Amino acid sequence: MWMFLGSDCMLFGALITTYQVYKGKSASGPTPHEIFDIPFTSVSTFVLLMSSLAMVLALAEIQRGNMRGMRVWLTATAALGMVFLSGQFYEFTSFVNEGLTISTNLYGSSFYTLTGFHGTHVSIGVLWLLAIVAMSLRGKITPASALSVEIAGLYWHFVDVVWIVIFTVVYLIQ
Amino acid sequence: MEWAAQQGLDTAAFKKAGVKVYGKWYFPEVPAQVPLINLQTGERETFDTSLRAGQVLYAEEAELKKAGLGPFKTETPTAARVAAAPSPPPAAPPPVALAAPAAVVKRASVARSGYPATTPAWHHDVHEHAHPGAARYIQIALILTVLTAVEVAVFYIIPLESHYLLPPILLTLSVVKFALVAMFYMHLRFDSKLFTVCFMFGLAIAAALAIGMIPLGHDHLVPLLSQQQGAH
Repeated sequence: MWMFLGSDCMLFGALITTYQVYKGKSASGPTPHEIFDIPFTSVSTFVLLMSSLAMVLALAEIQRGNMRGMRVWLTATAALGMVFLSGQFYEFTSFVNEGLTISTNLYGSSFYTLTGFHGTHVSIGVLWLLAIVAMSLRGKITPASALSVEIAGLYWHFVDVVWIVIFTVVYLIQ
Repeated sequence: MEWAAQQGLDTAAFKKAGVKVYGKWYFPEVPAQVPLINLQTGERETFDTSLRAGQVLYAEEAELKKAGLGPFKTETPTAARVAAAPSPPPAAPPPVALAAPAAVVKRASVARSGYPATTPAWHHDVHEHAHPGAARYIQIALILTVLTAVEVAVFYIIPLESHYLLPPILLTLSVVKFALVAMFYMHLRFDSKLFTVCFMFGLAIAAALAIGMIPLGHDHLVPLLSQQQGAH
């Protein structure tokens, strides 16, 4: 998993770099400071940070042998992830209404590609967590298989740290 | 395994003697209700519930005795002295009663080896050996929340003419947040350094790419590039 995360770092590094290179190069269309809603995105960031907390508490529970606690926290993690995705969906919808689509300009292409890839990662993470909850309910996840939850946790925390970088580089440093 | 090294023990010796080593890379599940020896400190510890081991390694006291390893190596010629001392029951006592066997191990030879005279009572810090506890995770979450709030505050407070200050301040704060999540939530701090190398390698390449492409994002360099292309 760590090898995969290292390679995923390179993927997001390339996408963020592309965004940075194309920033301010658009000939037309809306610009970041015209459409970004920083307070709304800050709340989304907070939600994702709290989902990381829930994930790590889920891991702590399975390591203590408390399967019910693990399921509760994993479900909370997935729920917070879905809240984040809903926020992203709302944000993208409002940007489209204000005239920024993936084909509007350079900025739109790079922004939606970057945040779209991140959103896809979050979606896969949510499905993964819900799958673990379902497997746990069927008795296929036990305290002996805490490593499975830890690996899922690594992926989820990686998705969170990528958003930490995206929030700073894309939203705050305009 | 500092204490084990002092006893002249290493993983090869444990493997040869058939003694199971409980640790992240060996047998990861630390058993419950079994007297264990902490191979780092030599302390005798017993856990109420089974745990997933981290970097601290444990071995069962009974297996060490059976194999005659460490401090138990000197016990075999003095079996009569051992038999005379009250021995702890095979099943581990509850945490409060851990103090009771302390008298058993108050022997000069064992004390010299570093095996403590008193058996430590149950302490919640044992979770720090395997993983940080819930309290630590919540502390980290609060710090991350505060840092995020500071980032947003900086964004709004710094006036437009001083916006050149934003990148270094915000990037520093995001690096701190990144490090906290990576070290504590992803357990890089407590895991093998190999994982850090794997992760940092990809991160270093990504960072080098971003830094190397900075000139392409600067407008004053674009005319220079187009001039060079016109000259050819």
